[in-house]
Amino acid sequence: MVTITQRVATLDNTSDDPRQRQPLILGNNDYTSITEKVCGVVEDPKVKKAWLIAFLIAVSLTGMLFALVGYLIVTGVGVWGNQIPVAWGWPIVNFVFWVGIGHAGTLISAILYLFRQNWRTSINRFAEAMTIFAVVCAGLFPGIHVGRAWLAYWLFPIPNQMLMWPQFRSPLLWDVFAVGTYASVSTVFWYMGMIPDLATIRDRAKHPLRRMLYGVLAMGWRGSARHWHRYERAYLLLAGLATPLVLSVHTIVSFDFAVSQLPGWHTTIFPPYFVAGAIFSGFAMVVTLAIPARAFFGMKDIITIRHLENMNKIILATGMMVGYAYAMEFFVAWYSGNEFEQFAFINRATGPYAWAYWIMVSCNVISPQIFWFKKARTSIPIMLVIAIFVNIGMWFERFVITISTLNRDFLPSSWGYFRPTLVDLGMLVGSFGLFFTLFLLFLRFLPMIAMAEVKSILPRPNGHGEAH
Amino acid sequence: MDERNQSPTLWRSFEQFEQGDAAPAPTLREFAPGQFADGPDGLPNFDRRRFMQIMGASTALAGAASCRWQESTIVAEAVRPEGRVPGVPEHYATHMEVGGVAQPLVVTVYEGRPIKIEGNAEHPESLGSASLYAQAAILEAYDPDRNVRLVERKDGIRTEVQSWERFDAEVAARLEAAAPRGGAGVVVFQGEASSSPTLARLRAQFAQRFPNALWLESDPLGRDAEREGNRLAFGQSLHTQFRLLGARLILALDSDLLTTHPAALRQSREFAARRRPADGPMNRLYAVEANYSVTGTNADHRLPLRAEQIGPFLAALEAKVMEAGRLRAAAGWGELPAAPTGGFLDTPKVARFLDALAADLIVNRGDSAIAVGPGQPAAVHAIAARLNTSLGNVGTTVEYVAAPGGDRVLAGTALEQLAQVLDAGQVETLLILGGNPVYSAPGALGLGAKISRAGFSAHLSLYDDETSALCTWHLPRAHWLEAWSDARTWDGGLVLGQPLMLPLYGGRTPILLTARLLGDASDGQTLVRGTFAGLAGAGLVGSEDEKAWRKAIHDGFLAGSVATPVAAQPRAFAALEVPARALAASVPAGQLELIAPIDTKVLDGRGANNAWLQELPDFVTKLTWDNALLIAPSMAKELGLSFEDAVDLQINGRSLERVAVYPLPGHAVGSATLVQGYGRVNAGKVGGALRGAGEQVEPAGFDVNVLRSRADVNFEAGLAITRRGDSYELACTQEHFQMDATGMGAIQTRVGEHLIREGSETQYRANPDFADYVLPPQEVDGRVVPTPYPPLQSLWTEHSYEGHKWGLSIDLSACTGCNACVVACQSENNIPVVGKEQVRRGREMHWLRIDRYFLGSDMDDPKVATQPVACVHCELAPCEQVCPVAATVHSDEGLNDMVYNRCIGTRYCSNNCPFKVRRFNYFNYHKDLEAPANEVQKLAHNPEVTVRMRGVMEKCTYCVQRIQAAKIKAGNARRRVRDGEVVTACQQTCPADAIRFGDLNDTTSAVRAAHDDPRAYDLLAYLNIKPRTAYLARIRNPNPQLETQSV
Repeated sequence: MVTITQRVATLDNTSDDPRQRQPLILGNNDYTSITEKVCGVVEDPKVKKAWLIAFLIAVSLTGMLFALVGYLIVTGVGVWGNQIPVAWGWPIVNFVFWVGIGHAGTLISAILYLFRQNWRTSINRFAEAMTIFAVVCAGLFPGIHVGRAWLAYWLFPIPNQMLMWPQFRSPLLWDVFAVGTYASVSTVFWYMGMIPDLATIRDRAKHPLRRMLYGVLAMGWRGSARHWHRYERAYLLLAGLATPLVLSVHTIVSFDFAVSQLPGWHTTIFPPYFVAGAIFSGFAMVVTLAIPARAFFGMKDIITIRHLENMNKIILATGMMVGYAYAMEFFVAWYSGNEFEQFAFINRATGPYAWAYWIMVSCNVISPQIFWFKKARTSIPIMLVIAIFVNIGMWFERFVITISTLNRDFLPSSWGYFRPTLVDLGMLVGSFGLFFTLFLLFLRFLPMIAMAEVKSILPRPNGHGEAH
Repeated sequence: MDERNQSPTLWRSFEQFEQGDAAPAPTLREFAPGQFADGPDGLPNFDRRRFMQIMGASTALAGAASCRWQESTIVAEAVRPEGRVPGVPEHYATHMEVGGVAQPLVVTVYEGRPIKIEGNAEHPESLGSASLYAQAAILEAYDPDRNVRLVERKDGIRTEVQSWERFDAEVAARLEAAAPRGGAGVVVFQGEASSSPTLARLRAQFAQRFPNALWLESDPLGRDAEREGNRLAFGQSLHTQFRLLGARLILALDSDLLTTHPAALRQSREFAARRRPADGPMNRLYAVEANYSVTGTNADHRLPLRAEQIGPFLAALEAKVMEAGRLRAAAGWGELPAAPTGGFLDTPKVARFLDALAADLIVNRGDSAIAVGPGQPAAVHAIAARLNTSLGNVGTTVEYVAAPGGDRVLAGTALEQLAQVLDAGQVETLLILGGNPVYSAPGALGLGAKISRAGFSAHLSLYDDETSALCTWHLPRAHWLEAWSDARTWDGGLVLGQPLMLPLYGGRTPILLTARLLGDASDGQTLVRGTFAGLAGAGLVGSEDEKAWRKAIHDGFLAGSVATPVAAQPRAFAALEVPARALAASVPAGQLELIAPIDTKVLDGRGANNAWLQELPDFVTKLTWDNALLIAPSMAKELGLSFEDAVDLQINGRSLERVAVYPLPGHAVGSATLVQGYGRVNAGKVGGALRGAGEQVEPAGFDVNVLRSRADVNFEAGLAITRRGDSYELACTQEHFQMDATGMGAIQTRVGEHLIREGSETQYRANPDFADYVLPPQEVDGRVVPTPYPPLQSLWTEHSYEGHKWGLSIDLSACTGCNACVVACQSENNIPVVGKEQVRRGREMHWLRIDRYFLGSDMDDPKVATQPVACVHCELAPCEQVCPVAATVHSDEGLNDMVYNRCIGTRYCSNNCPFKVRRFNYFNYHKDLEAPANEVQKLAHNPEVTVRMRGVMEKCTYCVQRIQAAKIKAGNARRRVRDGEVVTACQQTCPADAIRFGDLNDTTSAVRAAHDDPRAYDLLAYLNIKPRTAYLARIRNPNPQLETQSV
């Protein structure tokens, strides 16, 4: 029988030998080493230069984003390229893109938890963090997208002197509720999952200030059996609550398009197609973030190649769902016999935005096919490139849906060509800045790996483990 | 009343103080002039006492700033005038003169400020319609760029002068000096034609006093070629009057009967009246032209020919008609000359067109009308007159009336004469009344360089423009909305104009200035009334008494003053000279023809500083803020040019650099069009200002006048186009036709099947409701039957509309696509102007747009289809359903209301609107009006309509303010709103009477009848949105002989 120690030298746990369950954590790790490793990052008194440089870049981009937002609010939404007929431009593309990114986190922490996929434990914490930060970026756009941002609160059903409710038939209003629920549930889920780990950091903290801060965050966690019991129950409940949200958020975001009557938007395939696309882009983003993070913070034995390979498999699967949706849209348009519908899709593929369409298809449908090969699935450079391709492709998918539909609708007289402005570009880049600012802060100050959960899948100490 | 400085009781400037006859306190009179006569001269020897003196005087004078000139009031408002209710608008009749022809108008006035210009519904030349140019004049009146003061230019220094005294004195001295020579050396150049009897009277007085003075008149918009052509044919200067109501066949040769013709409003109405197939047999319109005119876009058959080919074409047509119809020309014309043959006339397309047209003319003789455009030489007009007479059209569809001031020299000759006398150094005093000859005269005359040779020159105009910049004096002109005037309409009738407000910036009209030259100090009212009394003496009964004058002022015109048709006597004239190149079927690429017609928007450039006109999309190119070199697509291909390419133009030694190319389907091959009116360097902050002291503004478009050599025709051969390699950005409101195959294919299938339904008259007679049958015919029980769209049903109970149910209809068969409604809408609804850059971004704000499509496979000879589109007020409106804050909601009368102050600007409604008629305020487009200098433009706003802020959506409201006004009026009288009581702005001005508005619940309403018309169809009915605007299918009346050729 092969022992774990024998495999450690290779750091390879990707064998699919059915006779042997592969370990998920490598490198002779035990409870102590996991704690040391994860807490070490948080407790390291020195600020690493690379982290600092990355953080400064991200913060300056965030600064640019908020400067642009200020400029936008003072001047008017005309600083973007939006026009008539393309009244929704990059801000909505960015919104849908970031909401989509968020999906992987909740999927990993909730759905994979319910399905008892133990490999999720290594990646769920920062996938969830990614979710929240992506939703923060996403939430920014609809708020500033409206022409009179100072009145955006009218979207909320707040009792007021005008005796006016929002208009409940509008999908934009559903969006407010869907994204709002999603943001709050995922934040609670993420924070609650972090409590035992925060308590660990609290207990290890030497500086009184740290002790106090992490102490407050840990909410008096003592690790008693009763605590654990309640914690596990609540976690399961929240996972159950979050699971439908994974499906509902992007379904409702897709309603923004599907409920309208524009050819190219008005299709019933949008909800499942959007959800698959969201998971697709979310996993690609997790891979993109995990690869540098595990290398930089020395977590290669906790986030192993097997974890990455699993995610690549999901990318391959969801990529094909998305590809199926692209094909099905064409089929349905043809089958409907509606010439406006047919034109909308032919126009996507051959009209003025054909370049965007084919970028989307190459990135989202063609490039993940390489993951049929195990070599590609387990090669860090290849998966990094593909994951970035998928991120680009999924941004373009939203671009194609939003812009190349709007630019040519029913009356040819109102057709127009949308050109983004520098402000559009600046805000897209700036939203990445905001995302990375938050993410880098998270990596530095919060446990990036769910220590308590990872420990649950380690072989038990005391040497009994191998007897099982 | 604009003579504000007539007798100052207090003085406002030292010039005035010194020259005026006011009598201030003697101590001040002695003290002031010596102390500070002309500015800083005395400053160097400045001691304390003097400083104190000046300070004291300044303090004493500070109070003088509040002094006003004496005003005369037409109606003193010490007590409220009868019938005047504050806050309720009043309407006054007046007129506007363009190219020497008056347009009768009615102006809406709110609390003493005119806000909207409409046609005079009582006058047969208008019947309520107004040209787009007249409507946009409201913006011109409030233009902050209008010059406020007199400007004197001496030795390159520009000085603004407060009062007229110095100028008046100088001119008076000059005229006095010239009087012994009979006025020799004095030249008065009237840059705008005028049919004003008052001006004519004053001019006659002037000629009497200064017999040797030269008085010239030259207006780029004048119709001298026609006048001269009629003189050739009949020996008399005559205007041609078309009575299109009786015309079964209309042939327009390079002629825009429906937009730029002085009687275009009446002609459009008459033309459109016979395009409604239900009302009787339709007319048939043929157009032969190089560049599209509105008339050409409406033609049943259009033949693109170079402008120089129009003459030979008409001559050949005449010969063919005379021969085939066995007609004989009247004896006075003698034997007809041999007609040109060969060349392009033998190409199959032209020959076929000629044959069919000749046959049609013979069939419809006596019921046809042949019109030639103002850009064609007089000889072509003469042939048209002869052919019209030979066909027996005179007396039925064509009439001739005496042209006012018909004895004057031709416009082109007048310009040459001016250049000549200036060259010869014979001009001591030059007075230019209106116009802008330095800009609009052909570049070859070099007028700009010559004006300075006059010892003294003064230019009366609204703006300190190109001509003013070269004269010693610029004189501010009173806008026609601010002055008394009279003039004649195209049919010769007398119209009167009254001031609607005090002159904003002072200024005089040409009438007043001429009167002052003659030493007559009376005001405008006295002068015009004097003429009116004189005319009454000439046979108009009853105008002596007060009542007749009051009635004429109230009505805006003198009833019964229309000129009587003249029985014209034929007179032989020389045969048309046909150069060999005109006959050639094609011309070499370096020897193209340049056509420089008058623009339909800014005319000869006088509207260049009017932002409404600049932003109005051209009727066929949909260009805003620019003109462009229009060439045929096949020629563009040959020359390797595409849309927005910049080119250099050379023609007979003159050149123009960096002109944008616009390949226009349907343009004649071998010629290129660049319209006049653009590229102005001294127009103002809107049209272009490069030479002024203030902000530099790039000119809008390109100045074609520098390339021209003749003023009498608008085309010239010898143009070479050189590609530069760079490009010039143009702003079109519709994607130009050079698009990908996917888009082009969709337009071809979509427009014909869904959007603009068309049929021939034959098709209509057989099947009046053909427009409902848009699906392919289906086989039922072995028979092929046409299929209407299946009735759509809603899942839920729809609203019932118990009270009013407003609806609109647009008859595409009548609509000519002339753009008048677009300006009416802009003026009525305070629609902002956004500028070229924003139009390029697709953010124009027009609530009503005219869609234009080219159809057919031949790029060089397509069919044009136009369609006005505004919000159609869907009963099941897609916009309402998606607004998250309920800012767009349905009223119980079926209006799709826009609640501006609830709108937060998600723009979802625009996305979901299938017609994309919603407009969004991406910026604060009224921001410019906040500048103190521009605040005056706020006066043009309609107080009944909210001015929208940034960040909100807006769109057509069916003129809800007019609906409410009518409802309030009806409510006060305790009755229902009557049909025809609510008139939307677009409907009000439509010269073709194509728009109906009213209550669909009223079974007797016109709009109900239109909705029930078999031709009526809904746009995109399959969406089940139930639009309240119905379109009536366009019916064309093609000649069966040419049918197969047209697409």
